[in-house]
Amino acid sequence: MKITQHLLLVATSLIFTHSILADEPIDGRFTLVDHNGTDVSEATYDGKLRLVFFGFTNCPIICPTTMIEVAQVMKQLGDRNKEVQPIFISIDPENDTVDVLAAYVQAFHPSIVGLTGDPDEIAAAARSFNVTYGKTPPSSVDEASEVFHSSYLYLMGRNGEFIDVFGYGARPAVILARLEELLTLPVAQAQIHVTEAWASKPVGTGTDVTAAFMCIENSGSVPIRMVDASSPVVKRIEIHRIQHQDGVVRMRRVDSISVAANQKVCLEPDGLHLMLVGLDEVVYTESNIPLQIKFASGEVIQTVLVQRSLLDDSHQGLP
Amino acid sequence: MFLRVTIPLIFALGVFGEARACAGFDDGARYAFSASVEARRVIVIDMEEQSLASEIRLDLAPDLVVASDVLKILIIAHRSAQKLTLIDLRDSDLPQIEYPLVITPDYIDVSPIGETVAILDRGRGVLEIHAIKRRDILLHVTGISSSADLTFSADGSSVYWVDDKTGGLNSVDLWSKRNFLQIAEPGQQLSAMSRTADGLLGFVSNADSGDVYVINLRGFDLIATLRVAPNPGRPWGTADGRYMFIPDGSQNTISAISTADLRHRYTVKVDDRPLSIHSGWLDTVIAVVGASGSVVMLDVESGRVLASHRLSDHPREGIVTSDSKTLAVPVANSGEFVFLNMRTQSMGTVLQGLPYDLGEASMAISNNLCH
Repeated sequence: MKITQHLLLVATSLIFTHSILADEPIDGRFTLVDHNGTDVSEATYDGKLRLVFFGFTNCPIICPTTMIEVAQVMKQLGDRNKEVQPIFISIDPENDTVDVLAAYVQAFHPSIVGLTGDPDEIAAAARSFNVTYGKTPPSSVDEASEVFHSSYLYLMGRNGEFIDVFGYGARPAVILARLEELLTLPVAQAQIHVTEAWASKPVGTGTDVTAAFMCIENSGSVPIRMVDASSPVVKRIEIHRIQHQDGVVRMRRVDSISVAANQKVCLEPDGLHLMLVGLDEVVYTESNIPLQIKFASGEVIQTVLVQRSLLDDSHQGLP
Repeated sequence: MFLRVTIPLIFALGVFGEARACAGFDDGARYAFSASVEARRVIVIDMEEQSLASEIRLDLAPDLVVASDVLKILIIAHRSAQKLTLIDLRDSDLPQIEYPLVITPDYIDVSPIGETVAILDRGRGVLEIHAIKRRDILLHVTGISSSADLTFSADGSSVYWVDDKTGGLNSVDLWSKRNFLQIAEPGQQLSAMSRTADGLLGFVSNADSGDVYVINLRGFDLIATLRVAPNPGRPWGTADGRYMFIPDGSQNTISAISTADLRHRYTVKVDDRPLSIHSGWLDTVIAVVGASGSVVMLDVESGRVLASHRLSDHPREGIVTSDSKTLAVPVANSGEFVFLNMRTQSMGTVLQGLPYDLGEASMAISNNLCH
C-alpha cells in the first residue's frame, strides 16, 4: 500500500468512526442536553410521535434538506403537530454547542429540538438508533476534517419505540401520510400490574439503605417504561441493576425499566431492583412501605412494599 | 421462502397510458425503471408495493433510462436515433416528448441536483451537459477518450471522467473550467470514478496495475494509492460514506476500504464475479450481486456473511431504495424482477413475466450515492 504525503496527515489527525453491526436492535435511547441546556432522554418526549435525525449544523446539503422537509411536515400537520416531536441530534459536539444548535433548529421550525452531549453520550445515542457516523481526515494541510453520517430520518412511536425509517429525499407528503396514519390511531393504552412487591428489611438501625423488588406486568398492547419511584418515607429511590462481569459483581444505575407489550419483568435480588436511600425511622417500625411508581406514559401506580428478610428464601404469597 | 408473482398480462397492460391505478409515477423514491430494448418498453416498478406499476411503450428502442425527481421526468436515450425521449411522470397519460440531439447518447446521467443531464458520445469524444427544461446546452466538451462512465460531483456542478489514453482523471465544471490529474500510466484500464456521498473523495481502480487511487476532489490531488486486490473494478460506496468496496472479478472477492483512514479492512470471497455492490439497511449491510446470479449479503462492519441467495439467471445492476430497506434486481433471460429485504437479508417478491432483456434498474432517488 502506497500512501502519499498528504495522507500522512491521517496518522496525526483525530479520526473516529462509529459503526454498527447489521443485526443490532433499534432501541432509540439517549441521554443528552437539549438546545435550551436541559437534560433530556427519550422519556422526555413520551406521549409524542418523534421524527429523529442525526446530523451536524455545518452539514452542507443532507441535514438542511431533511430539516426543511421536517419543517414542511410540521407546518402541514397544523394543530396536530403538538403530538409530534422532531429531534435533531448532533454528531459533531465539538462545533455544535447548545447555542449553535438553538440557532440552527429554530431557523427551520420552532418545534424542532436540537440535542447534543459529550462524545460518549452521542455515540451511545447513535448506537441505539443504528446510526453510523465518523470523521474523515483532512485531505491537505489547510483543510478541516469532514463529518460523515447516515442520512435516515427515524419515525419513533409515542413510547420511543422504532416504527419506520425514511430515506434521504423522502417526500414530505410521504412522511406526512405516515404520521397522519399513526395520529388517527387511538392512543394504545398500557395495562400495568405490579405484583409481589417487597423490600428487604434493613438489618439493624445502622443503615438507612435497602432494596425493593417486584414484578411489573404489562398486559397492554404497547411497551411501557418505568422511569421513577418515590415514597413518603424514603428520601431517594434509584433503579439499579446487578451485573456479573469477569467474576466481579457490579451494581449500575439505570434510567428506566422497559416492559414490552404482554410481557412481565421481575425485579429480583440478583438483577434489577430499586435502591431505597434515606429511610425514615418509621420504616424500622412498620412492616409496609408505601410506594409510587411512575411510568414514562405519565401513569402512576400505587403499591405497598412488604418488608421481609432477604435471607428468607421464600416470598410466595406476598401482595 | 419468498413470493412469486406472475404477470401474464404485462404486455396487455402496457398500452401507453392505459390501465394505471395511480395518477403518476413521479415519486422518485418509490418508482424504479428498467428498459427492454427488444420489447421497446420501459417497465415501471412500484418499490413500495413490490409490483409492476406500469409499462411504457416506445417507438424507438430504449438504450438507457434515468429519472429526475426535480423535473419529474423520465429520460430515455436512443443511441441510433440520436435522441432522447422525455416522459412527464406527473401526467397520468405519461406524454412523450422528443428531445433531438446532435451527438449519440452512449451514456447519460442526471446530476444529483436533478436539473441537468450529462450526455457522452464515446465515438465522437464529446460530452454535453444539457439543461433539459430549457432545452439548453450548458457545456460542450470535445476530445474525450473514455470507455468508462461519467460521474457527477455531489452538487452537480462538475463531471469527472477517466481518460483511457493518458491514464488521467479529468473534470470539467459548468463554467468550462477543466482539471487534469495524472493517476496512472497511459493506456491502462481505469474504472469510472466513484465518490463518497459527500463528494470529497474520489476512488478509481486500475485493473492493470491493481492500484486503487484516492483523489481529494476539492483540491483535485492524489492523496493515496492503495492495493487491495490484483484486478480491482469500479468501487462502490456505502450511502453514509464510511466504506468503499472494491470488487475483483478475477478473484471473486470484494475488499473494504475505510474512508476514515483509507485502510484496507477486509477482503471477502463471494460466490461469483461481483457485478454490483449495494449498501442497505441503515448502511450496515451490503449485498454483493454476482454476474452469474449469486447474492451474498455481508455485515458491513465485519465482512461476515449474513445470507446467500441464488437468482434464476443473470442479473443486471439493481438498486436499493433510499430508505435502505429494499434491493431490487432485474434478472435477464428469465424476465424477472427480484426484491430482497436488506434488513432481514431475505428474498421477497419475484415478479415474473417481464421482458427477457431487462436492463439495469434506476430510480431518481436511491441509496446509490457514489456513482
